[in-house]
Amino acid sequence: MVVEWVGPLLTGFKHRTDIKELLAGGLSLVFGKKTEIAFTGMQGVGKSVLLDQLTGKASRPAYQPPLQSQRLESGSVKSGGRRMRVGVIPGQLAEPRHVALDQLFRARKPVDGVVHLVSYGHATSRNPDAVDALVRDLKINTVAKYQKLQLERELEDLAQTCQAIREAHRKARSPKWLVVAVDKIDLFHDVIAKARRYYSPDADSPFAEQLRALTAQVGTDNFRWEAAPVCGCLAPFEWNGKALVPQLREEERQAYLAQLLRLLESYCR
Amino acid sequence: MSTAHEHYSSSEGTGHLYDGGEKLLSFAEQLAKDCEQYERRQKLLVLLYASSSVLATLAVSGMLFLLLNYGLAETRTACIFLLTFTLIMVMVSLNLRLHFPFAVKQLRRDRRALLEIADLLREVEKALAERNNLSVLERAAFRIRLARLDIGSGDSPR
Repeated sequence: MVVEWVGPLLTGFKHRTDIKELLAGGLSLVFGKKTEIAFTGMQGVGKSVLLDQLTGKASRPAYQPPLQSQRLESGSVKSGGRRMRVGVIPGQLAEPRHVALDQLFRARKPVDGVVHLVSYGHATSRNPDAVDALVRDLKINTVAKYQKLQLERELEDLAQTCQAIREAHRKARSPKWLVVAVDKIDLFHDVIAKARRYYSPDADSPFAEQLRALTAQVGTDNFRWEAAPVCGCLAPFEWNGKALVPQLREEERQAYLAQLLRLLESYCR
Repeated sequence: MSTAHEHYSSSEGTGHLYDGGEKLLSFAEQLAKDCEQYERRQKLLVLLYASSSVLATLAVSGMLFLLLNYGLAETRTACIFLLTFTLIMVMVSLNLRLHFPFAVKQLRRDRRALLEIADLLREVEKALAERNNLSVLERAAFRIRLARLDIGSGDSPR
């Protein structure tokens, strides 16, 4: 009796990936195609917070902003009849990041699109000892110096993301698009024009240069990118006693978020 | 381009920072190794605890079976043996039970320290490398060693 079931079960297990794809295909026919998106970006730029905002988790009562992500996080976003499955890749240089990159970019079917988060040098440093070491030992004692350091780190992080995209393209001609989500704009809304000049596709900056190089490598027909401002949450920023307060109102923040969501919807068509 | 080690010998001001980072990284690697050992030890303790408890239960059951079916007179030697065995197993279980919280505590303590150091180094790595004019290879080596360490800073509420 039991032996009769072993054969089909083993066959099912052997073809589990195909079965999963078949089920996903069936569900896509009923509910519409699900777009797989990866959230990338260095640590402290607000990837998990943005995911919570997009999934609606942040609007629940007693919501607590997430701590450092320790593994690949995921969530579903439904907007304008589009279904998006978002995976957040941890920003820290560690094994979980590489595992998540492998899962989302080096799998048989890589993600359809990438949202790369940046914060114009305003990434949060969560470790108080690291903050002390940066300020006292490494003389990163002004916001400008901190911003410069973080912008350089952003470039290194972008290089890793570009590398993963290139590998995915070589394998499966995907992801097709990348949105640079410029987060935490509440902290630098007064100089948003400068930030736009730095991140926009026609900018004369090392950041835009890297993405232009990526586009040239994978082909302009196969890949496109653009930048969009967003604000995950209104939170002050402090560095060595100098505080930057949010320059946006809650309704403006919501408007930026809705704008990003509409942009993602347009890419999911 | 001068390397960190050259810098250390020529300029104590910045070289000792790299040295500090290097020492912290080595310490974190040692902690990671210790954590692995503690984890292995913890698993072994659980396995031994479970085995000794099962053996003690089996010995008591066997003793009861013998006593109920054959009486004390016929099974005296076997019962004495089983009783001694049970007592030894109970002692072993209790001993392991007492040791277990210490092993857990040690692991938790070391893991917390490891994550703190890894977090700190990840944040300062770039600035440290720049300030000490590390060569590309030196920085890559530092980053690769850093990437081997665990992630996180405590329990996430997520």
